[in-house]
Amino acid sequence: VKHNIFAIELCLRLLPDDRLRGRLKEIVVSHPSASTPGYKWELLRRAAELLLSGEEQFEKGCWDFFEDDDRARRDYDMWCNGMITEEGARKEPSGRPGQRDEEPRYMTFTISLLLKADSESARSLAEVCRIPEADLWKKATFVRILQGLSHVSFAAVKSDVFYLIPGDENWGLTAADLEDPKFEYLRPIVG
Amino acid sequence: MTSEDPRPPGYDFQQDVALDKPGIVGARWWHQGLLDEERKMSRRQMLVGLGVAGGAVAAVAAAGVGLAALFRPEKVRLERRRSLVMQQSYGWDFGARGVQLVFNGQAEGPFVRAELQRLPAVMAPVPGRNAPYYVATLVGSLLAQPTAALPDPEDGRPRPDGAPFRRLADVILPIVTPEMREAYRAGEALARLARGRADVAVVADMPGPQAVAFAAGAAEVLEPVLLLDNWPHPHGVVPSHLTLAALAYYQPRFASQKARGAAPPLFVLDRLRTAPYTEASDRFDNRYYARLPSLPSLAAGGVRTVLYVVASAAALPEPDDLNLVLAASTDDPPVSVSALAVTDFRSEKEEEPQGAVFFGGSPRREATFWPSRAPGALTADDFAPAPAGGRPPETKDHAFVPRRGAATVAPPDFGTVPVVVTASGLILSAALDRSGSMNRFAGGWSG
Repeated sequence: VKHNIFAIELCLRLLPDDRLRGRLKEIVVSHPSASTPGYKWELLRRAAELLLSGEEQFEKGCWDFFEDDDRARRDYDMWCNGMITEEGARKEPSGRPGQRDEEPRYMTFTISLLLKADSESARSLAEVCRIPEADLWKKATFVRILQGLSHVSFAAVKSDVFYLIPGDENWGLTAADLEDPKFEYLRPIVG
Repeated sequence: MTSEDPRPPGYDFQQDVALDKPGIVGARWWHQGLLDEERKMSRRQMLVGLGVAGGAVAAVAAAGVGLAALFRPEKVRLERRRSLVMQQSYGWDFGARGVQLVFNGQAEGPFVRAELQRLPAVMAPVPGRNAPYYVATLVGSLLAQPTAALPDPEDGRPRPDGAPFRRLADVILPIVTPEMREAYRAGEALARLARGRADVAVVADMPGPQAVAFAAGAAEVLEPVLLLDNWPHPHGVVPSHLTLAALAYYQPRFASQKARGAAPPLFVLDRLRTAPYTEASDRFDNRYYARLPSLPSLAAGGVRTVLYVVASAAALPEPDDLNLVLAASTDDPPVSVSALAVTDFRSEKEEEPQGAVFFGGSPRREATFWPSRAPGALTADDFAPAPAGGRPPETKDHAFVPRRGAATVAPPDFGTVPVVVTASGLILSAALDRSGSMNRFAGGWSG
């Protein structure tokens, strides 16, 4: 069985009293450990919808779609390890936005799907992700991809991972955190 | 899906990792239906590749080769996975289902097991400045159930960890030991010294049961903040089931002291969290690095004095995972860090070893506790005649100095366990006992 991989990670600015982070957390932690393709589709749709509602807060991002099987397996492991090793998470709180200092705080939200190659979902996502190089980092591109996620059928998703940094509003990422080389794959979103 | 498949119809996605921590939340699911399909496909391909059909199957079986062994669908390999993630997925006793925990110092007296359900709530700090630092991992293990099961081996042998699962809340027994009682009395004495001081934070870094007992003794004045970040295991390098057992013993004490409300923090650490471990053994590596807040973070919450408490002076210096945190320079505002040992607290009368203890062994010496920790301050003891050979070094003289090689992030393999994995990522078993687990799957494993 061959695989394709899709992944998107968005870095959004946290606003004081913003409920977006809490809602994203809620949909992930409340999703049952045993689930159906339908519920999983609903989770993906809701995550995309919430992220789109925070479009004005998009700061940095990254997205991938690869059809090569080896790369798909390898990259999916890499995205999962970002969660399992808690690599990007802070080791201690930084304070809520505006609480300790005037420096901004950020969150990241990551979705990665390991898809069955040659499935309708994989083909649809491939089409959504067919983006001219000049537009790769434009906000409109991220919006297009998020909107396109509703075409994914979980019948063809072998594994999926969703994660949010931070889990607690006191643990937001700082600009200095995002300067760390481990975040260098996140590029500024333009437009 | 087989007839023994526990999945309800349609519930094809099974979570194998879930995190809910202040720094990160997330989860991963696997589509069991696609995994099943993939395994079946691999078997068909193998049969085609072998040219096995009809009489050939019978011939192979007659020759004494288990057919299932030929059906083993994929090559497998050894990988290291996060021990905690494996336990959260497959149960706290991953790879050792049915092996009994061993408890030393089992407490006598009434014990209401059902009360353990409340332990996580009892140990959670009250909302306030200490709450973000709390690490609920260990107490979270009590009620946890596996979210996934290991697959049936292709050779028809029993499934790994196929015995009935029992929650930790159903097997933990409360313990109390002489060392715990000693630590409890020292905690009471420290609470007496810390009363009225809002600028203090205490770090109790001792073998888990003693650290818990120390925190229980001090609970009237200092709020316990657990930094216990692993799950127990029957073969665990860190015997954290004993720490849970100590928490069970002192649960009534902790519950009764919650009415105190917000208070300076007493961080509870298990000193065995970084215990030496030989990978060649069959031990389960449930070690971890402590997530102690940095001095600037504590300073932002009003802390100006950190007391680092160990079981005895022999437990100094501090381990690598704390060194850079405690040795960090802090000038704005300054935070002083000094060491202290449970053995610094002694009874005034040797004939009453179970009585109240004082720092230095007497109220007079105890009165010098804070003055002696003020930078540059002299106390009455400094003018007393020195014993022959000079004054022996005290725990408070320990200097926290950054060490080369110390780090706040654990090495990559720290707290990981070897598992047998198929090429498609399906975990077949733990590989704690390589002569056992690996042999079962050795027919196809590769590099």
